[in-house]
Amino acid sequence: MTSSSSSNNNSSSNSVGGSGGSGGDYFAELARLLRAAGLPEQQVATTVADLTGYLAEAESADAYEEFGAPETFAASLVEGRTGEGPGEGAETWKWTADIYADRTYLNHYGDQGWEMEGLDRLGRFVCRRDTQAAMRWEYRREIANNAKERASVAADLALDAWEPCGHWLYFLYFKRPKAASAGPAAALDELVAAPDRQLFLSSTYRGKLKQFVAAAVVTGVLSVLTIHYCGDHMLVPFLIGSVVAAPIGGTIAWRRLKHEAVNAEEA
Amino acid sequence: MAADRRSSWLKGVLDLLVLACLTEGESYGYEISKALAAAGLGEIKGGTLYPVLNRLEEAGLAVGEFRAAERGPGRRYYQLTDQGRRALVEQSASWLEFHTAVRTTLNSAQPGGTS
Repeated sequence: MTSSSSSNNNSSSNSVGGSGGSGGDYFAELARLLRAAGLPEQQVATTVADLTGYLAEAESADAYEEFGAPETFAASLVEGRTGEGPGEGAETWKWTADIYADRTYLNHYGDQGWEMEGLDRLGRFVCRRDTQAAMRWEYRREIANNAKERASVAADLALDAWEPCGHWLYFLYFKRPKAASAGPAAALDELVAAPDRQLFLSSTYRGKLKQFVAAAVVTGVLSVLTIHYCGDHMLVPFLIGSVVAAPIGGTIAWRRLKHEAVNAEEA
Repeated sequence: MAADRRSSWLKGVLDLLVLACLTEGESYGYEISKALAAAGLGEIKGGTLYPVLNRLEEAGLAVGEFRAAERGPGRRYYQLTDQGRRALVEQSASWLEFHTAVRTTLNSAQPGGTS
């Protein structure tokens, strides 16, 4: 009898393969992979027990030969099973961008099937893509100062199928499947590889960052020189000035940032 | 080469064959593998069979239950669900229709064959 179907092994040589009749190393590695994939401990134990019995009955001396590479086999055993993490066939990508570039990149990568699920504690966009059935997504950003405004904005946009997908400070992000406007054409047949970048900074942001760094350096140098040449009695006035100036400067910068964000929204 | 071709054919129908192995009652991995080999379908490796069983279970076509054994590591027994029985009937009809079309076409291509 010829073998009409072979397992999905790539090679008969492997560090966990060919480990003898019990396949101990193989099953230890398989159990580790199943746990890592989110399979509950009891299911891991019964799965390994069942496979151990299979191998014994088949009188096979090599678990690797029988089941294939443990990574591939484990993936096929958890396929479709729901877990805490992203399902098999789903990719997750966390990244961030400044407020001048966020919508551009969200829409760019939304067109590649990345769906934003929310913002993590670090303010990064947490995006997910289903490699089996990816759809295009589009995004928009709105401004709201409090929970009441957020609810009001969300209610207005819900009429056009926009769904809130996260907020950070006073920025609200909304997503919508492109199928809502493009129909079946929103489906993606081919996927671009997941980006390996996690940070996107616009030239506007870089310019402002340079200005801020330059201003900080000049202020610092002037402060040091003044204290150095005018004596220690200038230290206290400088500290008082810093305590007063810092919140004022911060508030002005905050308002200006918000003003720019609102204007950009209207543009 | 011939084995590769048979493997390729089997991929399209293995789920159905495994469901068919469960019509007589519950069964477990190695027993299913033996039944398929005895039917002339060749040796089905565990690395091929278990993903199929997992798929059938996830699709609600079969349900598995692990039972500890007095001796040995225990086994996971599978049985058909009602949905699985319906799927088997429907998909068997589709497959047999396809099989008939293939056979008719191939027969007509033989010397002296009829269309």
